[in-house]
Amino acid sequence: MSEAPRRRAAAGTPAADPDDPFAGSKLMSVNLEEARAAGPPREAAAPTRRPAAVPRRPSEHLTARPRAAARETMPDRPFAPSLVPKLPNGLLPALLGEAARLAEDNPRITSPRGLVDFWNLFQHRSRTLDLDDFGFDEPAARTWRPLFEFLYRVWWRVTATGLENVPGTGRALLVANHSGVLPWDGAMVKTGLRLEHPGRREARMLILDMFTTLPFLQPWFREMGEVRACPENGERLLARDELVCVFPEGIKGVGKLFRDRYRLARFGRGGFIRLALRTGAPIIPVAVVGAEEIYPNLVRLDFVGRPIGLPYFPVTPFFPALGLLGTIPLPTKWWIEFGRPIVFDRRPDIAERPMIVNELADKVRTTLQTMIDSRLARRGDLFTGE
Amino acid sequence: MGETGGVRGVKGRRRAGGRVVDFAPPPRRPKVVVTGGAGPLGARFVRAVGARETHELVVFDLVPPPEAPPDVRHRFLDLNLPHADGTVYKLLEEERPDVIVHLAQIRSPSRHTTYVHELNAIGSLHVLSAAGEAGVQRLILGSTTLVYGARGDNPNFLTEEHPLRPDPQDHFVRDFVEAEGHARSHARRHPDAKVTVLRFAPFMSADVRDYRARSLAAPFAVTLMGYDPLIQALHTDDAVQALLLALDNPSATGVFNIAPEGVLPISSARLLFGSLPVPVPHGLAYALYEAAWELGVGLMPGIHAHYLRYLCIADNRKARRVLGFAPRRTTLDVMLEAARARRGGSGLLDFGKLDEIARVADFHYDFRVKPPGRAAPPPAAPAPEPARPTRRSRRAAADESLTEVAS
Repeated sequence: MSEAPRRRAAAGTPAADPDDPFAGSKLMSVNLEEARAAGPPREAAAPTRRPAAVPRRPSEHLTARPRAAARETMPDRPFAPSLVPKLPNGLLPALLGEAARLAEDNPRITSPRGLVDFWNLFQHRSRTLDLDDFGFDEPAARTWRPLFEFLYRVWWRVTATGLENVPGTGRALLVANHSGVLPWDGAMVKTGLRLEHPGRREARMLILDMFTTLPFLQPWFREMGEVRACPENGERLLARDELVCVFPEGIKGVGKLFRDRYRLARFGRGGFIRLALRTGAPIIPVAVVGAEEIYPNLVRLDFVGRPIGLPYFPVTPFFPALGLLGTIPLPTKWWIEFGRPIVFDRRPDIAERPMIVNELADKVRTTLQTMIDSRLARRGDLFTGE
Repeated sequence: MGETGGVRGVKGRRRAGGRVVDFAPPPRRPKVVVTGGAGPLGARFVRAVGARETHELVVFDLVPPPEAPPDVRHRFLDLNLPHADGTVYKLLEEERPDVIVHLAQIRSPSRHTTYVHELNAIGSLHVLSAAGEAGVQRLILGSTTLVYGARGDNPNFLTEEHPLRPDPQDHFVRDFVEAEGHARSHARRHPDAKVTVLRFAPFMSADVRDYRARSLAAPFAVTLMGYDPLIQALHTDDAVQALLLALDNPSATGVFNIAPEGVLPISSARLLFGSLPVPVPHGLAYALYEAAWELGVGLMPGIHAHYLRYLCIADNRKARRVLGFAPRRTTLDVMLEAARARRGGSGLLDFGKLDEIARVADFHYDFRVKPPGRAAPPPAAPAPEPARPTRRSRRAAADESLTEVAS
């Protein structure tokens, strides 16, 4: 188990720094000071905000920019102060102490309105008011990172390769295969880029409609920074030079049966190609290997899922037989491979020609299928990868 | 517009100090009729135009506008009467305005659905048909971004081209959609008429008292369990700014979303206002809202709770590009100002710290969130907007409005 990090270090992939939650805020506060000294912010830093041109050769990212420089040029992390200061010694005693101190200072706290405020602040304890346009709540997302990092490093022992193909700054469209009943693959792609990419890039996933309409999932995905998959959202994100990740197989991919694993389904209607043609973003194929076996989906009982609002109802050897225990994914060994960028010129006129769009989509699909097949051929044991 | 007098006026002569001095009578200012000029938005607009002294103002409403400049004339008009179009036509024939700004709308759901329908939908039809007969070339209509409808499959930012899909049972919003339909037919029947429709995001400021402001400021509120959509809040000053820009840009016709920068989850708005959320499964919440509405204690019908469940956020890029609209307050700023005015700055909620967060959020929007396209040169016509007001001046404005409310 402990071999994976060592191998990564030996291979020269930059190891992740210990996650310092305040690194971003320090960076931002420095910028704030500079901006204040320089005068009105808009004029002060507008030129530096201009995105660098998207490099066309994949090798440019690493050769032209060593790691330290890549860090300097990466876009500022959103400074997102949470509403309640970080509590050092356990949540409850600190909260109680804080409450007692506040009550002493301000007798109005014990009024009904004060209690409401206290409750609301408790609800917001790991949230911020400083959201981006799509509602990405960085402190809230931070609280979930330990879980994803555990899954990434320990549970699935993910090996990420080809990270040099992902640009350190600027827009790019990641196109990945989808699988695994629950969309853990998206979470792992995101975690991998945050942990192992030199630019610490935060990928924005375009998610299925289902997740923006189901209760509890809607605010959760919004806080995590995910956005409903539609052309308008994709274009807006790419226009902001974000890293956008799509799963063109969609629901057909995530609900794939075990016997269909690693066989790519139809790639939607080529919406991602249109996105790339309209915005000029390079397409980076991402092959996720290992994720298609975490829930061996034997039978799909759609008639059970439909009435409760789910698009499908999987039957695995463990679910629903073992109940909630059956939702624990199998600890397979994963590879995430980022392929060489496929660069289209910005041609909005071609985006209006469905046959060409479909052909381009099929080319991307073939590339991705080849990447998956070559990794599968080299893969050994399902759980150890040896 | 922009027609200056002097050509039509007769030159007068006056003897002064042995010299003959020609002088022109004061230039004829373009005349603006504001229907609903005594309403919350109309009165603000009338005050703003009156302060500029660029237009001659006539208000058509039931009552004279409050605190209006003295040269603003008021003509009585009740748009709810069945023959109101004839009345409007007569008034327009007498006044011969250059522009009609139609703001006679009720912006909160009411149990008097017939009254609201007659005013919001049919009243707009009356004004439009009378304007067509009287040959008024330029019309500016207020609408709302609620017309897009809150749907689970809305994109995060709705552009003007997006189809209007409110719930068919939401009569309050449907009336606005109908009014916009009348505006479209008017533009079709009168190809040389210049019709501008401004879809305002829901208003909020220290003195807005519509249904949403009241429900956010209520001591507790039934919320839809597991749903927390993002919302927008437009400051009324920014709405007035958009109206003035539309008035100054005769060539800007069509539909514009007038929306602020920035979004806020509705739960965070409740935090600022100190309202206790009572989460209820959403099926039950619709029923509770409907029951409260039928009993006369609710602020909105049950079906309107869609807007507490799904996104309905408007994209203001077209207004920025074409009108030169530059909202001066973000949603968070507006919410903070309103919350501070409602409940004061003391207590457990540290408004000083929240202000700091808002300031950082402004910075964040300026440098990260705004699309890079915003660097495009603004159109020449609109008056140059001052740079973002500093935090201090905005705070001063908030305090001012606070004293307004107190007095």
